[in-house]
Amino acid sequence: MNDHSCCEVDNGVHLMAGLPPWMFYFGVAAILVISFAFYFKKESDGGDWRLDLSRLAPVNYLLSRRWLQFAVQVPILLLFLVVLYAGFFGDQRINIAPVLTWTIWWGLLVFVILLLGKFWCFACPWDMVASITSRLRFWRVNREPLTSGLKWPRQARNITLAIGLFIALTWLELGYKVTTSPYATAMMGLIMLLMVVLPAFVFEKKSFCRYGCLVGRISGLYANMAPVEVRARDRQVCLDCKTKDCYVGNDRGYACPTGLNLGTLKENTYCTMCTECFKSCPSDNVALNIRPFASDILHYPKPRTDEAVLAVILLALTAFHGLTMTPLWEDLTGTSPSLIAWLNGVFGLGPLFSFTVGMIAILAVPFLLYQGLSWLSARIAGSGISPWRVLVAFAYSLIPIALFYHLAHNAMHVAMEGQAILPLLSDPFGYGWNLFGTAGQTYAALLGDQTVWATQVLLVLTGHVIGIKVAARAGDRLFGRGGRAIWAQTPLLFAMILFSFGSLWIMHLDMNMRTSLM
Amino acid sequence: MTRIRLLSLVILILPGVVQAHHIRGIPHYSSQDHYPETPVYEVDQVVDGYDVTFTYYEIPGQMALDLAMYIRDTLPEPTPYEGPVNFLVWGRHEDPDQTHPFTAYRNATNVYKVGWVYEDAGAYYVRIVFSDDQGEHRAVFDLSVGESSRTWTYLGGSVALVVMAAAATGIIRKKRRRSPGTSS
Repeated sequence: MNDHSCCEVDNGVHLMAGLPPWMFYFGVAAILVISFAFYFKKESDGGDWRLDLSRLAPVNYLLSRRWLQFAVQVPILLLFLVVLYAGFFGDQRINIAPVLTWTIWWGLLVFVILLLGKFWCFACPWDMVASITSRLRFWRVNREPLTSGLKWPRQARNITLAIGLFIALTWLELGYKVTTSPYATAMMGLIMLLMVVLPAFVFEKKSFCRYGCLVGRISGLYANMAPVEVRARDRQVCLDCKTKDCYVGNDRGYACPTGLNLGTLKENTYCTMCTECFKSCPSDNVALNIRPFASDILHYPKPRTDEAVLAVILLALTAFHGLTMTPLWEDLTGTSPSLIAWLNGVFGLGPLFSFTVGMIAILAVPFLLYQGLSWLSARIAGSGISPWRVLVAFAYSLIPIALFYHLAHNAMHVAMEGQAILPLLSDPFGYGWNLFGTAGQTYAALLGDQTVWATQVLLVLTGHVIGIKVAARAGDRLFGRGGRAIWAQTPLLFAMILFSFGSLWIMHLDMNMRTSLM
Repeated sequence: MTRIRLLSLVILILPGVVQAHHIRGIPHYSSQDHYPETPVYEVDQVVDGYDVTFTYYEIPGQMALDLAMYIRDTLPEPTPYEGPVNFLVWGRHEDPDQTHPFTAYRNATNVYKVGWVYEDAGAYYVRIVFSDDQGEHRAVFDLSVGESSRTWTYLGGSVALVVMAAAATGIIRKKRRRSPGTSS
């Protein structure tokens, strides 16, 4: 207690030093070595094992209970209500809403996805409210839910809406500094709740979860790295099944909310792990598997354009997120030049406009670069493969790079700022309470800066290794092996090295630490 | 058994609640200026060998705050800073270069204090600049003021929206159910 070991300030602006130079250069060298060592190494397909947890009696018992999801969602909903109350009615100077939302939830969410896949969707409080209001039951099955049951518009049956919402959220979050404002945080929570609840009255199943939910779609792509999956135990049983209960629902379970058919399910992207198929399957043919990390992303069955675009945008936005927290982007002390100050000087239209221009530019640069390199790759291959097809196939290799940069960035926030939750637990609304005796206290960071830096470099390297493996497989599928195919893949390998360098470079910059700013 | 558990919970919580009244500032470096009002927000920042404590008080009935600051060196026996301090306050979407700074001087209790009037509730930054033989020193603090009067409008509107959507869906569903019967 009262120990300022690595971060001198509880609030306001202070700098956390970026990676020390030797660690940065070590990371750069390791990326180069790893790239060539792994990319040209022949891969064996071994190690594709599965461990079916649902064979264990207690797990099977829980998965087949209708109240399970409700029981998990209730405490999360209560926390969400605390955030809403604190944000709307708590003291606006300091309360628990921003820290709980942006440092704890948003910070840890990526770790949860990496370890537990789509568990957040299972526990989602917005989904709980949508389910109760439209199904009119807490957990039992209502075969006539309160919904118009319209089909999601055909033109919008992709994740463009989710991508748009993700970009909008980032703009609001960073442009309007929502992460430091209790009121704005609560407002965003309320908007998110309405965005989930209202479509449930209009569209069939959980169409918004499938097409529009930005959290669900981002976690969907990331969850392909997770060591957890819901799959058919025996796919042949599904193919022989005439009733398709998992898809249409029955008296024991709702239809899959995102319209998946267990027999054809091969990746985690759209599964919400709601466990309805465990209840509805008449053949007890559903497994909750533990599996090797990155199983789906290494064998991605059907690359899609919208998912590929999201992958590139994810990479660009996570990097942008990190960059905006450095004094290079905005120097609040006014002592050194920054991009925002420069854009202000060029346009003279105020910080928000400058921020928007900067965001568009930083989003566009990786996208255009990747597109250009895909074009070059297609030209070198010269086998009639279109540049866009190259981009779509290889974009999945950026997901591990984005995810592990995201983890590295959030690790810093959670380890350096996570302790800010302790005083706020005693005084969640800023009313001057001291429920647990922790109010007004300051606590040391959870980890020292050396540990955080080492963890960050290791995470970036891990993401790069997996990304390289994914790219190698995509290259094999698209171009084949040897000769010209190797040269054709080189520009995209170069792009991956560049993006991983970029991740390290951002982390080597000093960072403005603002409690709860993610 | 449940009662005993509840009672022990209350006993555990009570001392904390009672103590809470004193948490935010007594004894506080400048509480004598505003006694018995205690500052509701207080943050520390160490800048170039100075320990800067920043706090602010609401001025009741006005859209204004008293910003207060105490600066002392970080030596084992701290000495308060004596020179003038430059304050700059700007909104999250304002350009700091377009905002006028103001200067505060140490009062008898070693506190630097300025009154600041704002027009809109929201989030602001406070930048202070002070100098000594070593040169200029700067620190930036966050500031959130005011409350939105539209909270109940937003909350009520949201509930109304959900109720209306539910009612409309119910009506549509009923009509749909009736139509096959009517036609047959």
